Amino acid sequence: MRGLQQKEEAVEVAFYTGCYRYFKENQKGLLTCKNDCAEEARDLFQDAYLILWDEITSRRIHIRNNCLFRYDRKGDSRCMSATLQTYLMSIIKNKGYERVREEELYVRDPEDPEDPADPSEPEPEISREDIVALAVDSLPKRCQEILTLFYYEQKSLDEILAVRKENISKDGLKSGKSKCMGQLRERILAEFKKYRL
Amino acid sequence: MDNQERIDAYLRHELNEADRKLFEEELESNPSLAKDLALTKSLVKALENRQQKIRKMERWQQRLDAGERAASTTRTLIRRMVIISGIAACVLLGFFSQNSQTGYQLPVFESSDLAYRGQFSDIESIDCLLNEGKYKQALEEINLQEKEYADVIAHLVSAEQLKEEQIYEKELTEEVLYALTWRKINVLLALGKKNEALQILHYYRFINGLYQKDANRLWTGFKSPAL
Repeated sequence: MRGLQQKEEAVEVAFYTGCYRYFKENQKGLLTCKNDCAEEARDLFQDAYLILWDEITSRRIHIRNNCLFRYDRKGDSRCMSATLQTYLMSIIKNKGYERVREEELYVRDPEDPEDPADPSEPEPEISREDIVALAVDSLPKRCQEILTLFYYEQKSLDEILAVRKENISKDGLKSGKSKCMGQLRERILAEFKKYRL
Repeated sequence: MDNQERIDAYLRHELNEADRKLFEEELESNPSLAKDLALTKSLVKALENRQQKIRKMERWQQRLDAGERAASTTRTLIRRMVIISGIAACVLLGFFSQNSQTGYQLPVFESSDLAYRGQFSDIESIDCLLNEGKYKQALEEINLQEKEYADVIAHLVSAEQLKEEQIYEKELTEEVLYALTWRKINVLLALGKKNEALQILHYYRFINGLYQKDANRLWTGFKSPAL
């Protein structure tokens, strides 16, 4: 956990490799594709892995009193009953579910742990930056792609239309982007409020 | 233009000088606009970090895939070579078949029992010789393969820092060696080379693995007064 939080490349590689192998061995039943699932599998895995990675680096998942803790939806830190790899598999399952019903507004929260936190050690703080990163992770795939093309790659709406080859008008894309921003803003502000930021 | 469009235009440097000034002045008096600008800036930062992470994952994945491809190719090649040479050995050496003179009853070796581990068809030819009672030839083949696999391990161990796929290769090679050694112990016993077999068995029975129980049973049997 510390290695990931401190961005140690060797730890990052080892953790990714371990998780990917675990996923490969246990992916049966998680994929919706019929033939040639390799690409879908990798895509789904990487999407879910990003969430886990962000949760660890943001310390939303952290270790206290030799136990893995995670902040739940209400902002309470609770001891996780699952291992990180099992937890990752539950994210993958939910991501797959989300893809099937992409119009769904909120991603289901994977596996809420049960045990409340032991207050003897202070809870780590979550920064605004981390909350934004986690909110981006939780957006539907289409929103992530549109926002990345617009804000990161600095493409115009016309260019995005050409890249995505979607059968929608420029106004449709504009309104789609606006809805994505709305969802993102709503989630971020809710999280800020939860953590009193 | 709504607020978000103005923010986007401002961040993308698409406002003219006058509009940019006006926007910056408004930021000071409009906290909601300032808040949305800060949020959009955080989003840009988060997207940058996300892309960095995605690029890293792609790099790791490529390495993993390359490792898996290499291991699979090597396995297929070795398997094919061993099967071909095994069949050839069985046919050619069949004329010189020898039976054990020691009375030691070898277990029946089935490489298919080990197939789930992926690598073990490499010793299929040896099992074929053993099951046909051609112990001398089997021992020669075992010695040859033992040397080859030991060389592979020595080469890997000499590397300063093993890559992921090399660690995997080393583990697999060690497993093949483990299976080979068990066959060697049995064939030595069948050829009446009891002392040599027991020397190996003495250490072998302490190694955790598929044959540990059998090795212990064999050791106990040979150390009992009846034998």
